[in-house]
Amino acid sequence: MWPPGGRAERHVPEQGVLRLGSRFFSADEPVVMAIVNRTPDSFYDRGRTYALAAALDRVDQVVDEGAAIVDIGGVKAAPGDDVTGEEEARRVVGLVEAVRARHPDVVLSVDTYRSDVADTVCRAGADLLNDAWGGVDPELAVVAARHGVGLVCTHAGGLAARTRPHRIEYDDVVADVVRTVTALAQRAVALGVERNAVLVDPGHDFGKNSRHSLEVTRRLDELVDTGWPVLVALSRKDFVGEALDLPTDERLDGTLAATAVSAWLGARVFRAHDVIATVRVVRMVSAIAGRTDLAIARRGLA
Amino acid sequence: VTLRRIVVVPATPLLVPEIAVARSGLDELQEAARQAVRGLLGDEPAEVVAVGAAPTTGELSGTWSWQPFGVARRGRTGPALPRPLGLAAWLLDDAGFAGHRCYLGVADDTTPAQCGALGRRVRTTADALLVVADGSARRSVKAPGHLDPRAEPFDAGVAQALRDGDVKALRTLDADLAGDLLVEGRTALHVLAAAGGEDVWVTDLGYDDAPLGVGWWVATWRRP
Repeated sequence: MWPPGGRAERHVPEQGVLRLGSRFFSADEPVVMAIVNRTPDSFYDRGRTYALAAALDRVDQVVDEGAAIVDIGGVKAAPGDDVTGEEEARRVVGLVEAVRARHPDVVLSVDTYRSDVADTVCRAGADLLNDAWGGVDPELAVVAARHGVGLVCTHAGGLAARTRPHRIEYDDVVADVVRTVTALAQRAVALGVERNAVLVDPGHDFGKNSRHSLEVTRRLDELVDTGWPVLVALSRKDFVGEALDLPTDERLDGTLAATAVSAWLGARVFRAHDVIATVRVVRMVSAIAGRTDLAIARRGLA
Repeated sequence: VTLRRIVVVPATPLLVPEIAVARSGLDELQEAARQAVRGLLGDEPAEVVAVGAAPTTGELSGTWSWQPFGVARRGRTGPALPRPLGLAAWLLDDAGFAGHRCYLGVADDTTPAQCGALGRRVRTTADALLVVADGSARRSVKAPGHLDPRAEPFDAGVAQALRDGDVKALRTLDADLAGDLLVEGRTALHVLAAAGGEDVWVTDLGYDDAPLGVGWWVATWRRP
């Protein structure tokens, strides 16, 4: 029962078990998805894990730190050097194969908007396709269905991939998010993707200015109420930076505040650079919300 | 009716796995208590008398409830018993005991003589006695009542008496000192001393430790 003690009157629809790869995640088990980029130019890690060996080390580390999902990307989100599908596949497939061999139980996600890359990584062992650009390639969901893998359906404001929002307007950004991701999720299921392997992501910063992203965070319960499991990707993004006027390397605290609020409102998967801190925050929120018990109990009880 | 077996368990809510949660490192205590209660019921007693601290002295009825500790669980029917007797009720439920139960509360200000009278009555009416009592809550600097250097020797004396079946040592426990040392089980131990009478008991002290600063024992006394 959430929230505990019937504090709020709002009806929370029954959230089902999430099934990704070989793993099952119950509704009260927060899941951390670690970001691993095989890119030379992503906004925060700036090529730190571009080399295969460095990326593998990073995977070992984040799995050890408590990430149940690793999200591998081969193309930075922001505009920049053109990366062909062949080049993206070259960057990602080797890592997917190596991770699959080393960590058979980790859920292997690939952040791509291209169906041909998606097809290749699914053959290499991916469990989940993180379509962060909101279905710009409609064949991606078809690929997910064909391979029996999961799909993240994201709101990106209808932008073309790798473009920045410019003077974008919404009558009601949350209503747009709910309408868009619900339609994407329903379409995915209709195409044959397993219902309990479909996630929705409001796409913070994607096709949004920072006030849009803050409003989406504030009203995340409206997305949770759709019943689709919600993934949030908040880590060190510009809406955090603009709320605090801080550069990417000083956005952890703000990210964790947004993470805590999202967890409280019912988000289930948290895409993050900083795995240990994120794991601790979401577990703490679960404990406060009464969704999980203490890890140990001694105080005042001896 | 002959009293055939006496079991002592501590009054800590951490006996209950749902309160303590798995990683708290109390499995040994919990298992010792459960095993002792299984032994108590192995004789198939018609009635178990449970004795433990309560706000007032006398018989009570009801069940266990962990709501006051923030865990939304309770026994099936009846009002919530005071914690020590609630723990007894839970232990008996947990062991599947279906026979008759009598919950005897003894207030902190019950004199040794009054406890003696209660114990002598138990001796003639019950065939199994479950004593919920612990030692000093001042066993360490981090104990609930901080460290009192008298706590360790006091508890060691009780442990020795439980190990030896020494009712005289239990009967003469100093009530004032026990109060100073935050011993919750003094009155229940005085009842035990009288219930044990002058008989010879085969004893087993299955647990004797204070990992969180409170003296905890699990003891069994049975007929030779």
